Amino acid sequence: MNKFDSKEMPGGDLPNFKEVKEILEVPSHLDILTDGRETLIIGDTQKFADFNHRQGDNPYGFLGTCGLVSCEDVLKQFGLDTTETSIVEYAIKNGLCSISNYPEMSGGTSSDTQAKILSAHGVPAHVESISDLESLATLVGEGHAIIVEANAGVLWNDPCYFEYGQANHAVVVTGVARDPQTGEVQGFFINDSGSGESAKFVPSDLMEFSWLDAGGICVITDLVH
Amino acid sequence: MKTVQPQWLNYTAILQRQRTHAIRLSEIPVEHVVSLPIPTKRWVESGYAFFASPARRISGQPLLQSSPDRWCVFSAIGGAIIIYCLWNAHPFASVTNFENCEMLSTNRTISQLKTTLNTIEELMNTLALNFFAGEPGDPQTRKALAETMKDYFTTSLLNQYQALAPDFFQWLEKD
Repeated sequence: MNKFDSKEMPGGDLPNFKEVKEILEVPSHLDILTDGRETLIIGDTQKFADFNHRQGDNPYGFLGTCGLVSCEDVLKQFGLDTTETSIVEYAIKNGLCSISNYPEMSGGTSSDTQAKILSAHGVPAHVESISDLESLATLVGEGHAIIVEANAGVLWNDPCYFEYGQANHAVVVTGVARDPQTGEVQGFFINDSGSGESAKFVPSDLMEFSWLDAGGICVITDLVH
Repeated sequence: MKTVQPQWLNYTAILQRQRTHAIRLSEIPVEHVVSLPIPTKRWVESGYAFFASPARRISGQPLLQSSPDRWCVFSAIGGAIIIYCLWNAHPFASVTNFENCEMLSTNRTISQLKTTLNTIEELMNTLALNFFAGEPGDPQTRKALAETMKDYFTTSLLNQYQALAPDFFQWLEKD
């Protein structure tokens, strides 16, 4: 993989992005997608991949912790040394996660509480409803850390978890893939604590089905990295 | 005296509202299963009711959904919240708790599930407005919706829906 250098781009020009200056603030490099397409990857997907792990790594038996583990992931992106257990304990103490009669169904968080947890740990964040992939890609390119509320069934291609197509799973977006020639969004890279997959590429059409069709809800840090 | 005919929100509008409403973002965990909204006149005015349930999602195993722990009703006119309530504070049914249940009755692809949901949405767009207006609706359309919902839900899950909006299901299955 080569590091991105605008001088090596065709014609020596950057793609026609809206916010070229901001995109250059985060790491980017040229690469090839698994389907053979050339791509410009924006975001430090490999470094951030280390911050993900399969959810449920806490002593309370809570398995519904995708939102909390996503918070842990984002906090680590900003340099905080934390663990799922630490975040779960913080959420329990402050009434910021669901606690059911069944531990394996506990640990759930709303979008607002995810933002609250991030903010309480020094990374201010807010919730937005977004209606197009380009807006999400722009935010990633600006260096914001982002949790998206997606549909797990679509992400995992598992009908068991499609339910009503609604948002039922939180994942962290760590990068965006753009066509080097046109700037078109080809897809996103995510850390998924449900499957344990890190820096997983999700093509645009799948992201649209999984996330935008489910409401396009995301938690966005006010800070950039 | 002049009267103004109420402008009922159709089902598509309520689905969109449900997914992005502040109550969804602030109060309902993402990990909960949020039910489909169902038309009902149980709560002061016509509305769309839905419930949310904790769930267990383990790869390779069916989704297990526990008894609802909260429920909500949006007004059918304008979409304002009529009720948001925790089950422990005020249940929507007289049972103490529903049993844990699996989500779907059969194995289908996501594409097939989406198609069925689209069918429910399309039928609801017509029938919800008939129901709110006190009209009988087309019997064949009512029958189609009842059968499609029975096909999509397990029996134990359908029991939860029927307890949420018994008036709508009685209307739906009326001869």
